[in-house]
Amino acid sequence: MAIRPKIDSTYNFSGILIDDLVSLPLLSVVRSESKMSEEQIALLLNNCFNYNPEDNYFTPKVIEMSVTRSVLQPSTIPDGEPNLEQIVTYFNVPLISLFPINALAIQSVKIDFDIDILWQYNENVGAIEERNDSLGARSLIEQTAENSKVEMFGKVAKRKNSVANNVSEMEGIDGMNSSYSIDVLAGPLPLSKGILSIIDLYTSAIDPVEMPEEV
Amino acid sequence: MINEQKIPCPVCKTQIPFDVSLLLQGAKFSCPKCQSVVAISNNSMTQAEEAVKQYEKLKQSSKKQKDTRR
Repeated sequence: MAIRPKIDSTYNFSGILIDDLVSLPLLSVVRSESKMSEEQIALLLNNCFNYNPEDNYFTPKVIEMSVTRSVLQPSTIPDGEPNLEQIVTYFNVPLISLFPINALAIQSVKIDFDIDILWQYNENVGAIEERNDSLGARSLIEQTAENSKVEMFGKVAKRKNSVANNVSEMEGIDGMNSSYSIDVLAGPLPLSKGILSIIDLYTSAIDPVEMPEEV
Repeated sequence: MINEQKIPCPVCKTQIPFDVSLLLQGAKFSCPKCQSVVAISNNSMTQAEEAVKQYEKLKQSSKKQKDTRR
């Protein structure tokens, strides 16, 4: 059995940009999801569609559904009790509309790590605007939001025993460094209501008609 | 297979809870208010069952791949 050398993960992650540390795991999840989607699409095409190689068309497979309801039929005898009958209404639904399309999707991804900021560089390239307000006082407004440039350099911190907060925070370490706790939670967007809408459309269109009373 | 969904009853518009997986396997779901029953008709049962079978196969293979990576 090969013995793996002990690797210090904090050392290995010291040269990676924070953006990449967050985005790369998410990208790998997207790639995995893409592979699963491909398989699902193949499954849906094979099972929910009939392929015609002559005209290169996929025709949706349709399944028949039924709604059974009790209907009170008026009595044929004058002043008689109405008869209770079971009326079955059939309607067709594309099979794909019932199929769980994204059931194999990754539910959520949690990226959670701490970063020790060793030093930071802050360059203010913002313009300073001089303005007279309504009281006549002069104020200097520094446009820093869009024009300042901050770069941080650090490394992934070793986990402390204490539980980190879910909110990103900045705290001092030994009065020299600072650390960020990064907690990202990503998940898929909810499915559109297409499936239920189709069923709703079909079921709304089959409202049974009341039988006229026989004279 | 997936979470429980709801469809409006075609008769009284009450929401009928149903599970697609069970529905495709032939289960019937009735409206809690007017007792109307929604189901897949017997004619389409084979088609629906085959689709479910293929889906379960894909699901199992995805699970195996996931376990192997671990």
